[in-house]
Amino acid sequence: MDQKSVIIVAAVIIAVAIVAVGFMAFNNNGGSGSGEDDGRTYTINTELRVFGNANNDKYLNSADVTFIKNIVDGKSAWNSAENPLADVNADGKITSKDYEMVQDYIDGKTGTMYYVDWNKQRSSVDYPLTNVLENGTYGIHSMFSTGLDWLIILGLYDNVTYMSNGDIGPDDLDLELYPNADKLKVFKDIRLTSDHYETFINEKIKITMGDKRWYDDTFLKAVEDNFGKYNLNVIKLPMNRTVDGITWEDTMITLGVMFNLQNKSAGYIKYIEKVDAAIETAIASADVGTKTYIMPYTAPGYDLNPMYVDAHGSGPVLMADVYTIEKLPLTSAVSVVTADGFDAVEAETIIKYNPNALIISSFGYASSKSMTKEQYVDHFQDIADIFRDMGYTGLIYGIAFENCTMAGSAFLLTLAHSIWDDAFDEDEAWALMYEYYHNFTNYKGSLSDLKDSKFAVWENLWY
Amino acid sequence: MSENKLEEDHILSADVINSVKDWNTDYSDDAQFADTVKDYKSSIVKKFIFIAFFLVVIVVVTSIAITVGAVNIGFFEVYEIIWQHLTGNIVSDYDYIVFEMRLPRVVAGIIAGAGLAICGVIMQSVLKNPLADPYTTGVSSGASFGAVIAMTLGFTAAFGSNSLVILAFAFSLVPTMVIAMMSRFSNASPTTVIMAGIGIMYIFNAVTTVLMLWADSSALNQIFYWQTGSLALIKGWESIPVMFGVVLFGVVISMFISGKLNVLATGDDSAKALGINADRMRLLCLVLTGIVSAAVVSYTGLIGFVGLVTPHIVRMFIGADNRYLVPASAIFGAALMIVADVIGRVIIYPSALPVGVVMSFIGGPIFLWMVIRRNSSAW
Repeated sequence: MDQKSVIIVAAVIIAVAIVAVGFMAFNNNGGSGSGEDDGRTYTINTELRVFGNANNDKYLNSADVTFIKNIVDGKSAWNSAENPLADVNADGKITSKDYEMVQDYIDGKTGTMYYVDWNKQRSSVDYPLTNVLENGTYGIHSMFSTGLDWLIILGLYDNVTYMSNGDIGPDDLDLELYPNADKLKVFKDIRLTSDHYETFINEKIKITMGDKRWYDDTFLKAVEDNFGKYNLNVIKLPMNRTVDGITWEDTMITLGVMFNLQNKSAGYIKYIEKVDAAIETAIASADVGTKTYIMPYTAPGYDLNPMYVDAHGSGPVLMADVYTIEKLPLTSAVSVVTADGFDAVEAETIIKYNPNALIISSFGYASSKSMTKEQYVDHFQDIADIFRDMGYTGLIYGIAFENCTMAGSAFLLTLAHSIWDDAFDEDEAWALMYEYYHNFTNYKGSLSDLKDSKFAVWENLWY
Repeated sequence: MSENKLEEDHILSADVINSVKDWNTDYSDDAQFADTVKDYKSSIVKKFIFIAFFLVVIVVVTSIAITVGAVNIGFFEVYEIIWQHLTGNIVSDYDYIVFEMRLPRVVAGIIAGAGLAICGVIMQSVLKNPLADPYTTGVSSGASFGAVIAMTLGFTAAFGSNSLVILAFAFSLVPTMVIAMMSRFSNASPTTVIMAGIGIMYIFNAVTTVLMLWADSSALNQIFYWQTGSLALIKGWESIPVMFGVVLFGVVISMFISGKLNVLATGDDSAKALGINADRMRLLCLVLTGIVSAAVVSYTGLIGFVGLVTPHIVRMFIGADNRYLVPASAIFGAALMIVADVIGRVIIYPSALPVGVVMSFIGGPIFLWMVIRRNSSAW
């Protein structure tokens, strides 16, 4: 083949490639979800992520109206970098329209609420979201069993009609904790694509909530393109995974406002503040010292060696278990190359790091009706045996649920008491844990029942 | 002597009688030619009947495919909605579902099926290999590499899924370019092309695997879904223009060169004797199939078996004449793709099997059956 022909062939390929790629790029419709997308990204410093939260606290109330009015009246200056959410309509200036919108939200008037989503972009939902359900005409879809917890906290559990099958399906959910869960319909495919969009319409689902990773672009595009005809509200806030620093706590606080149910979410906010305060007080009053940990991760069917670990990863999505556990003076002894910090590591490698504590996290056990406490204890013991046989002498704990769940903060103090028994009071720890289960779940047991339940941390302190 | 008298003559043996009859038969050129022309015309009619039949199949299956979905929209209502949309009189709440979701998917399936089928025909002809398919030159591994880069290195998160299409398309052309460059140093014989394609495939697959080792579970899920091939990856009508344009270009060119493909199939020496540069022709065909299959897989993922099985099935009915094999394969491939997609959407409803999986289920057994009943006169 002569040089001239090769050059012609290469030129033809390159020309076709340039034209096609150029056409594709020019034709790029970057929208990926419901609501407006002005292309800007927002950096905010507050847990409540709705536009209107002018003072960056955890509540949408008259204080925000006053804050904006003071700016409009010239009594204070607006720092767009510090208080970006004061510009409710995103027109670049603070005017009476901004505080009028906030007042409408407070008054519960029907409209559109804007928030900063997991892409750090401005997205919207119909407000209030409770109205979207039209007294039970429309339903909610939530991903995984952990995705049912926020519904219980907000009093919306009866409105959930669909869930996605991930850890365990509705057939295996503990019906005491999740009543009538066996009647929920389920998407067996975790990842939602445009194939599923029609089902959302057909099954009258108007609100969906889950992890960013499981909403395919084709699904989000279908939602966005048809918004106006069928308003499917995709709440683009993380439920189980921390995305770029956005935690499920931020989500819970924001959901309360979106549904105009701050009276319900306020209780949970105060509870988390109480837990955080107790941790801070204990750390300040005693020299606890930072300890290292590694968090192996297990679930029914998972291999014991190598096993997955939750660790710090290379990307913005983080397994929220790491985020929660590091509220205690704990430092991860390992980081992995995967973006979300979830990767398989040989047990020998884990031993080599020699962390002070191994905290085995799991999913599917606590909310499963078929997995008994004895079974998961045996499972944790099997894992512990591997490490003990390899000479590990540190602390080993087992948690029957994912740390990133709503329940994730509840057990922190009981765990902390076990690690630093002088600094963290046992009675206070159990009281706070019981407060969570009693107030925010359907758990009906007593405190002594809780201490003996599968929600309590399993300990293997020394072999 | 007349035949009757021959029969009555008991002295002559049967051999003699048959020989006389044979001598008396009209084997003149005109008679033979007339028979040949008659047979030829008959075979041509059969080919056109085959093509027409599957054109009707496409219309019928397309009609059914548009009505399949979670939302129950009646058969005639669907066409009413399409007509209303085309005339600018949109009144139905299901307009978006029919016109923006179902119809583009079906159209994309037709285009993809036709594109991959003609690529298969061309590849099997120029490489003289019944196992050749659109991905033999490594197009699939290049596209997969581009797609994995997009999904693991955050391009899709930052720039949307069009970045996946762009990267898949760009990298899917690399194997073809490498083979073209290699032909400077070696010839472009079928063996060279296949071996080069395998080598490139292994290189790309190795790098792809390394990237996947570092991918998080979400990216791995996306990658798996893309590698199985699915029409659900088609996002509205914006996916159609490039695919349609490139595939149409491919169909037109392949029709144009189909006669030369017949000559090439007789062997390189025969082709050269008839004035065709076999190596150059082969290379041009590889470039053509590379571009067409790249345009398809970058949008749909790796849908297998269409390009491999379609030419074999069509050959069983209309023979190996590329002048008819190319358009017939395009039509049959389009029909097969739509049928597979409908099956995938119905069989485990409300979930859906990707069309690539269904094609494997259909194509595998068909391929085994063809091997067992192989008619070597058609290949």
